[in-house]
Amino acid sequence: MRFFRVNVGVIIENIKIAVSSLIANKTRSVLTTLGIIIGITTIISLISMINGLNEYVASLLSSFGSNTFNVMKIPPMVRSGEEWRRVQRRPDIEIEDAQAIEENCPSVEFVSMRVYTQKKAKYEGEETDYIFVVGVNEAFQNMENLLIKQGRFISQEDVDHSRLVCVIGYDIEDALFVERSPIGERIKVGGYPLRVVGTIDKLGSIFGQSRDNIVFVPVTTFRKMFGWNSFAMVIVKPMGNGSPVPAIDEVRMLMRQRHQLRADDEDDFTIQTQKAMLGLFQSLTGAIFAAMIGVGGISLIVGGVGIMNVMLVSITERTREIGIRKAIGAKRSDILGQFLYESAILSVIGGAFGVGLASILVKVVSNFTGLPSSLSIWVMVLGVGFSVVVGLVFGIYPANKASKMDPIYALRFE
Amino acid sequence: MSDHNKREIIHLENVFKIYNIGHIRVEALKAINMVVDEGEYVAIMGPSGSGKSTMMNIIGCLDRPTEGEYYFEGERVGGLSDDKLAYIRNKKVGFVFQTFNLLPRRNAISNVELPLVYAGVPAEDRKRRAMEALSKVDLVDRAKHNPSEMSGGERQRVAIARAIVNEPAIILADEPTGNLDTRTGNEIMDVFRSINEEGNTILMVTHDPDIARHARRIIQLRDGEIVSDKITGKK
Repeated sequence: MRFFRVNVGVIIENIKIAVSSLIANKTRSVLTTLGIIIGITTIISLISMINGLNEYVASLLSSFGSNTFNVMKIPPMVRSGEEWRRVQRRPDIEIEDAQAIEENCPSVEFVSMRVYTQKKAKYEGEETDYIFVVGVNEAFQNMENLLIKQGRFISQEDVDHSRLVCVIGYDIEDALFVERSPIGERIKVGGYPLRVVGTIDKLGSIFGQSRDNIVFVPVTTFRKMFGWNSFAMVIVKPMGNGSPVPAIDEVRMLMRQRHQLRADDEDDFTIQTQKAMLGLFQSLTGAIFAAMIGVGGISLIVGGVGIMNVMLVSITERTREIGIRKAIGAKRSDILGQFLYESAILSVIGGAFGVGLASILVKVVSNFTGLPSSLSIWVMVLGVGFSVVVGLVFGIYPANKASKMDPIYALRFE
Repeated sequence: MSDHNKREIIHLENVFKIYNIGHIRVEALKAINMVVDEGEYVAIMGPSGSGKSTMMNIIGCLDRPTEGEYYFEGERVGGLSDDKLAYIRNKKVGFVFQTFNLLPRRNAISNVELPLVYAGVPAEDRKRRAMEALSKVDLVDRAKHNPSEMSGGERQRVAIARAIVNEPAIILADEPTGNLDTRTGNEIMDVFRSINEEGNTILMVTHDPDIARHARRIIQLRDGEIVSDKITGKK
């Protein structure tokens, strides 16, 4: 049994040998680990970015309540020109649809509305770039979790009387009102004078796009000023936090009645649940994810082959050393361990560099593009762990070859 | 120590080593019978190609006989696993080579320690025992030097220290003076004599009669056969 006990001395010796031989061949070691570095960097930064996106989308979802759904004219994914032309012929989603849903569907808690366009805003000679002008109702604030900084949000009376009022986002306030409260001031949006009744807390940016260059107006005012468009939608919050299915059924029946569809006609509107949106998003990122992991995986394999190659060279160079070690009593497992440690340490160094590089890359990309990202500890551990596996898998063949070397041959090797 | 003269270390019984090179059958060793007892100092002589090195490799458990039996301290070597052979090389045999075979990037003491590492000796013990071995070859002051900073004689003394550090049953020396000048060679022979006088068993291969003369028993090999086996009587 003595042959199977763990020999701590040999383990320490093996680590010492590995480190000293890597130091003795610095350039070669660095070049060898390059493949691993690239592979791990690719994989870790992608996992972090896609994790970040998914977390962001999931956080949006929970702030709406996970059972809300949208009723819209244009579905979020249109797969062909033919489909595009067909959905263009559908009727627009109207303000009256939102009112009808609120009045007639018992499983619906409240209904919000959104229609948007892009215009410029002006105030006393200052002019902004194109900003989003969004027509909403009172419920929109709750639906989107908007926090009021000053004043108030668009009210039901504003909608009922098509008042010329607006609530402005942080960027607009920042651009037009220096050292002065915007409340009560009149700004011109697309040529129409609107009185500012409230301001919104800063929302930050997503995908490099600010979410604060926005002006909210009553949905009825929007229709009077800018007309209507295909992207108007109704957002429905069902009662409670349970399944949205009863509410969806009611809304669907009501919309079919309003559009006077016959029993065998297809729906001429799209109902999209938040869950389905998330699913769609995740299947999209999942596909990119899989492709990129594939690329990273290939470069890891290339890196692994590089390690195998260098280990084979190293073993040939050190044939005599192997012979000496065997002559003075190193067992096959000792020699196997020695070279496995070396390839594992080599690839772990590569992996650690890769993780470091990835965390820098993720920060830089996220700062420049505004893409959210999340580099968690487990992803780093995974990266280093992955590189250990690569080192061991591609180290096995050379190490085994070394361990099987005939000591007489090895000792004679010049 | 009490059984000094009689304990059998090496026992070869009708040992053959046969190589097949293509269709040619080469008998490197033919029907070798030999016994080496504890405390002996034996020189194996013969011209190159006589089978000296082959015999040394078999005795050192680096190789196995094709036919015949080899007993090491009474244990049959033929049936042992690779790991058991490694164990014998580690604990029971100390090798000294013509080309020294030290690890170049290691200093003297860590070269001497190496067999103890594979034997699983704890680090503090290793240092102490390696220093003891170095003191026996009179190299304590060179302990921290790398082989490249040493003369040939010093390197061979480090190799001898490495060979004796595990207190082996036998020291196998293959042309230990082959790469040294005569004076240094004689110094090495002095070291061998003193470690033999301490009770170590030595088996040395050489083609140099002047070196062989230091042993107390000389075995002559020719074409894979023992042609003479004489006690020189020298003490």
